[in-house]
Amino acid sequence: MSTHRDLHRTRLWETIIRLGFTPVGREADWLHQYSRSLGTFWECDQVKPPSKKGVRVKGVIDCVPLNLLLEYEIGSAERFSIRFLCAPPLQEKDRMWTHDVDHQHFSLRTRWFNLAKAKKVKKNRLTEDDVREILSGLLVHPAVHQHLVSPIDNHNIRIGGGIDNPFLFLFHLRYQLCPDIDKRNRELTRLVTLFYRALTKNGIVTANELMNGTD
Amino acid sequence: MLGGQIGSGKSTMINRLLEIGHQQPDVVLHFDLESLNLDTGDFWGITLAGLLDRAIRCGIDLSFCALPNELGRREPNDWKGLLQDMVPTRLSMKAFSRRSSVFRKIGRNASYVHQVVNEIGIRLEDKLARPLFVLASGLDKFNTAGSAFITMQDPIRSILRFKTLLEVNAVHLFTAPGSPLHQVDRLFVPTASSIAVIKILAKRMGAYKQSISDELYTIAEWSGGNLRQAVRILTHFGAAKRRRNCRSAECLLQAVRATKRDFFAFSRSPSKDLMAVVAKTGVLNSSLLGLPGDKETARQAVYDNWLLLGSHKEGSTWGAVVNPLVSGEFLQPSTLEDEESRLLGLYATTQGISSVGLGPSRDYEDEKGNRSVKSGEHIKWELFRAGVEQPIETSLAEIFDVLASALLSKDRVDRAIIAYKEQRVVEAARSYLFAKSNSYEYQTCSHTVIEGGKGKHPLRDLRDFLSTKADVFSIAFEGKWSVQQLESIDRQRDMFLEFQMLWWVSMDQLKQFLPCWVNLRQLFEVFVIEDELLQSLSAEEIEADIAYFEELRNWNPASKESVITNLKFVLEHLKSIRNSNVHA
Repeated sequence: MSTHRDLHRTRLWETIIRLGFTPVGREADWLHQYSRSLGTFWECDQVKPPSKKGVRVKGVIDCVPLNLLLEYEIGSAERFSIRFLCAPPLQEKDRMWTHDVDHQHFSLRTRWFNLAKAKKVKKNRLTEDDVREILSGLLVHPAVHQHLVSPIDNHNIRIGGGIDNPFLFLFHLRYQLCPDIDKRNRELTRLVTLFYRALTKNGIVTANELMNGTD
Repeated sequence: MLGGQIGSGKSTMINRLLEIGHQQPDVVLHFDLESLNLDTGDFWGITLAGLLDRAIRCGIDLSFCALPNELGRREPNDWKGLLQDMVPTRLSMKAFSRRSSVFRKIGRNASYVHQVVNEIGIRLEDKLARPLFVLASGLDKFNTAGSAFITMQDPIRSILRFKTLLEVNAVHLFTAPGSPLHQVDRLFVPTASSIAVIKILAKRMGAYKQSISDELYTIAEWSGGNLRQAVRILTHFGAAKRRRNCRSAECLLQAVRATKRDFFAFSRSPSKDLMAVVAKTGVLNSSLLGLPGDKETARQAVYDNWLLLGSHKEGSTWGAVVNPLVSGEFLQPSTLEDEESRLLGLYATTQGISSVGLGPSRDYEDEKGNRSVKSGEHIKWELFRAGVEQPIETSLAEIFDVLASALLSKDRVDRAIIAYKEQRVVEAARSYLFAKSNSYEYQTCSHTVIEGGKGKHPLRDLRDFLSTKADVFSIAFEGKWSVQQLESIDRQRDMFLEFQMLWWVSMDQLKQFLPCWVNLRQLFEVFVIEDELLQSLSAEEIEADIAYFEELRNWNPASKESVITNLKFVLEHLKSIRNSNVHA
């Protein structure tokens, strides 16, 4: 029984990533909307949109309260890196760590996804709770994650360690680095509604809907 | 009436309370949405549009008048069209000029619109079967010295008959008995405690509060308990940190400087004596807020947030602090010993004696009888007490002295319109003021009457008068002015910038003049002389003064036109206004 349930949720997991976080051919547009939405969602200054050089897209996100600069560079859906730079005032920027994804190396997780992709999610079995649980695993509480210790020791910020999709990784940072817990909760509810509707009706989640839904 | 200083959180508090109470106002009037240079037509227009909107949504029968036809040349029952004219949903040049035309007509027929507003309100109450809840927001943006404060009084009086919540500035809570705001129940929003400010900032920072917990305390101290100031400092602090070219302490300093620049760059500085007294005592006497012409600049200091008001202490004293952003400018080391010596030297010279060796007396006996020597700070404190803290002797003549000082002395406001309700009151006041002028402490003052109306050339007369030699030009406006004549005066705004002027206009005329003086009403401060006097004189003081003049008259009978008769008339008039307010 639990095998069927797990398989159902694995398909759902993969489908949600495909719907919201695989903007094939529209990567630049997705990232542009993403940058714009950060200013609104975090209630901070506007974040500059990324720049594109050939197939590579580069961007910088400044998280002032943490003295943190996030520099991301996306080569393809299977190759990207995000550098977490510590940027204290009057000092050289100290690199803290880089989240690097390189699909030249074997990853069990990805291969398993591709197996699950073969079958579609069964709509009649789908509930909002299923969607909430998947989004929770993807964005709110990734199973494998790291916590900040300094300059703030906040257990609510979880940087997912096992995310290999660049767009999903960036979107989960948007959620995790938002300081307002109430706003996060409202955002999760909004996303559950959005994806449930897409999965049961039109099957589409646009970048605009994903980023700029009413809060 | 909910009052508080700018940035104290009045609007946020109202919104939050309405949300918690699940009660929304039936009518919301936003007086600050478009411009702060509003005239009679604008105030009445906003009031009418607010009530009309609600009436249409409630399906109220409005056939009792043909306002759509009279104001907008529409079908007599086309109320939706009239509302669209007053509050266009789509902006265009045509809609804007149509709206201006309707508001002008409203201004010219204010007393008629007053009746219509009343009737709509009554019909709404009948339909709702409960008191009509009206929220008038944005009144706090209008300084008591501005012309808008005068023009807004009639529309405000009209909505006070309903269940009305007025959002006002702290200075509006201390209005004169003649003002419609005087009889309204009032609540004051004081400055917040440091702990409360820190809580609010921490909530705003969410999970990131830990990263700036030390700075939050400092920001709260710099805010002086004013919430908007606290948030602004926090925002500037974030911006300074974003530039990443300085450490936290320097970022804080930059944030404080930037906030000070934002809030005080164009604000007129109040008197140093007042600020020093408040810094020393931590209290402000509310009687200072009612001084004629704002003599001690207390009203201005509270309105512009130079002083931040805390909770009510006792009697007429309120807790107050000098805004930490500007306190540095007023708390310089004392230079009083030098100043005292200088004044003594000056006195000696004018008396023809040597100033060598003169100095202020510094012998001092404390409460326990110990003799010691006064410090410079002590002497300075005594001087300030003498100048500011001692209660004004409240006879009418002394109030006129204060008014003369505010209007004619060298540190007076540059241009003031003095409005009056009763001709004889203003005549008495004027003759008293001019008797005072041209004395050694005041500037020379020249007075004339400029008459408007058919066959008159007021602008030419005004120009001729201003070409004469005087420090202060006093001008009484009389006659039946045409709109063209008023507008031609308004166009001379830039010419008036270089003159110090007092304009005397009756209240009835002022209501007609202000809509035409779009530019001038921003240039002048407006005083209503009866209100200024009523604010400073209690009923007992008026009675005592009248008794004094009675006695004087019996002893030395004066002619009907004498100064005493004039002053007595003023007192009788003030007494009747105060009595009518008490009965109301």
